[in-house]
Amino acid sequence: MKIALVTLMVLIFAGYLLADTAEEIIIKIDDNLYSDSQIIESRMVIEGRRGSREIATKSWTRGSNDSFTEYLSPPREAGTKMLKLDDKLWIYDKNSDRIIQMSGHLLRQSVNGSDLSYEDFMDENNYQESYIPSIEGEEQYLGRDCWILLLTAKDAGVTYFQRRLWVAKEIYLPIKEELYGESGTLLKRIELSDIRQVKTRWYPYKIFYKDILNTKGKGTTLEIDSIDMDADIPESVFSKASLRK
Amino acid sequence: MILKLAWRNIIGGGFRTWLNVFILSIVLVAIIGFHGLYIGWQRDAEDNNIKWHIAEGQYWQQKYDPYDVFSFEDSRAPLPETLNDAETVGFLVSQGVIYPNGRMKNIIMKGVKTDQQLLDLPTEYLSYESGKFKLMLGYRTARQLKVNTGDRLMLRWRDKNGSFDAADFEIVHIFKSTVLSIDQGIVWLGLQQMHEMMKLNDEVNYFSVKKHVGDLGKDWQFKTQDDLLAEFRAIYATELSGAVFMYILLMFLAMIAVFDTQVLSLFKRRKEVGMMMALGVTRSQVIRIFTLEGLMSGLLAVILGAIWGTPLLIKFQETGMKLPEMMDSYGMDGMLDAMYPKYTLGLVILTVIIVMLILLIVSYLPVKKISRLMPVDALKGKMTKRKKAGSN
Repeated sequence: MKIALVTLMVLIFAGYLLADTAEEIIIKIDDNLYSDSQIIESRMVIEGRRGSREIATKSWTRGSNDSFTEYLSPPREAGTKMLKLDDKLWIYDKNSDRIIQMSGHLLRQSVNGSDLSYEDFMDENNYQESYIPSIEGEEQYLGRDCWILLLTAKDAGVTYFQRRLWVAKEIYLPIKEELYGESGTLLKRIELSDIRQVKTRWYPYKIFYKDILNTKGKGTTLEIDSIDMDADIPESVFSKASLRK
Repeated sequence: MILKLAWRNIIGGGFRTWLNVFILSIVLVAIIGFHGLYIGWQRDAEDNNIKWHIAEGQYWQQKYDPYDVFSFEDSRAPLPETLNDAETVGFLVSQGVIYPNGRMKNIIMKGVKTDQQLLDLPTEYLSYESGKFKLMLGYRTARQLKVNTGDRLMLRWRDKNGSFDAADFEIVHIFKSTVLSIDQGIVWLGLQQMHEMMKLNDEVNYFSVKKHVGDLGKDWQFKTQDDLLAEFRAIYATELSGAVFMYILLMFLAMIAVFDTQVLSLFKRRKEVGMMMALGVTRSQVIRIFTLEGLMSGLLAVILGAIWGTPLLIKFQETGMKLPEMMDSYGMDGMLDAMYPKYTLGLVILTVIIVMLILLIVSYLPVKKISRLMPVDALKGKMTKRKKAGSN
């Protein structure tokens, strides 16, 4: 009896030691989602009142601050390019052949009337850098065992004060996110699906963004056509000269 | 004698005379009425702008541009400490998004001191209560959003660090003002409430003052009432030029009638003219008689216009001109439900003088040919002209 009890206690203690902490989970999520560089071809489907619109883009990202995006379709948008370096954004409009610099807070404007801001669209949300995580609990979501992680902003200036993540245990990837303001108001919901393995990582090929406050809106879907992680991207891509090429 | 003659002739003119007099009186009353409307519009718009928003002038943070929403974040500064609190009303401006009935709409949020007495803006409704989210709307905005007092409105904003947040606000009041710049596309919050939401201290984008307090340093630029009303005045001038065109058209039509009357009168009374000249009345006196007749019809028009026009214009001033609903979406101050005319003594006198002057010219022009009339031929009923000296 005593031996059984001791064995049980050792097993429980070992379980605690081996269990992932919130910080470890976040690190693994970041490892999945972020790399030093990426090349992504994607389509953004914006559901509007008069039907849906689709915008195809190709993006090159470096780290968490720099990215270059070119619109591939529709024809009206094709050729438009955006370059983001730190908190500055430049947009090249092929119709006027002009490069327009937008200051930091313009990054928070909606992209083409979608539920994403330029920040959402071009930024790399590195959870470790911005949030303090804690595990709230566990739940089954869409057939997957998930941790429910609550991320609270470390500093002022983080776009969403809190995030609640449903992280699929087997792949260390959030399949649902809820974004909150400081008052606790739910602002956005993100659902990640069509998860595929990319080299050693897991990545969602479909991301659905929904502005919760806009109850009449139908949301915006980002569908990944291809992704190349740790891609070799020339330095020249992240320069203003590349906007006019 | 000339006066008596002219008067007798005009009274004896019968229906034709009175028709002209009546038409002239309509033109007079119409011009005074319409121009009174424009004066009323201008006064209403400017007076209300001053009372509700701009006071004696405003100090703008030097980067603030009310037409560039992207300037709001970078154009804030604390109110200078030297200012008299009672004579200053600060405004904090930021972008926001509201969700009326689940739809999304971009909006401008303006925070204002709630206990101010300087402006007519009813800011007391926004008095700060911890934990309560209150906002106030202008009538136009409320109508566009299809909301009423007591309704709740979700408002999303970004604080000074760029973090999103949202809350459910109660619409505590909807005010009616003809001033567009405090209504269209704006939600009003208490300044303390907005500072709390945005995590700001005492910063504002601009403030209105009871009087100019001099130079406040490079952070602040003073805008006089003339600066702030310049745009409205430019619009007013454009609209007025259209109205003046209408007045000219009305006058033209009336003067055509007078001109024709004079021509006809001269033709019909050529024997009488000949008789007068034969009896020793000089040509210039005859011209004066006919010209005076024209002027007298103008005078009669003024009297007739005063009789029927005065009660009508007074009534018009009371009831105003009701505007269709879409008018306030035209984006002009001074236009809400109705426009109320304002008549000045200057307006009436100036209109009468201008009409009489034009009448003088129009009455004289057709009759000046009398100066070359041959009296003998006139007696015979002909209108032959006297030959110039030296010609055959």
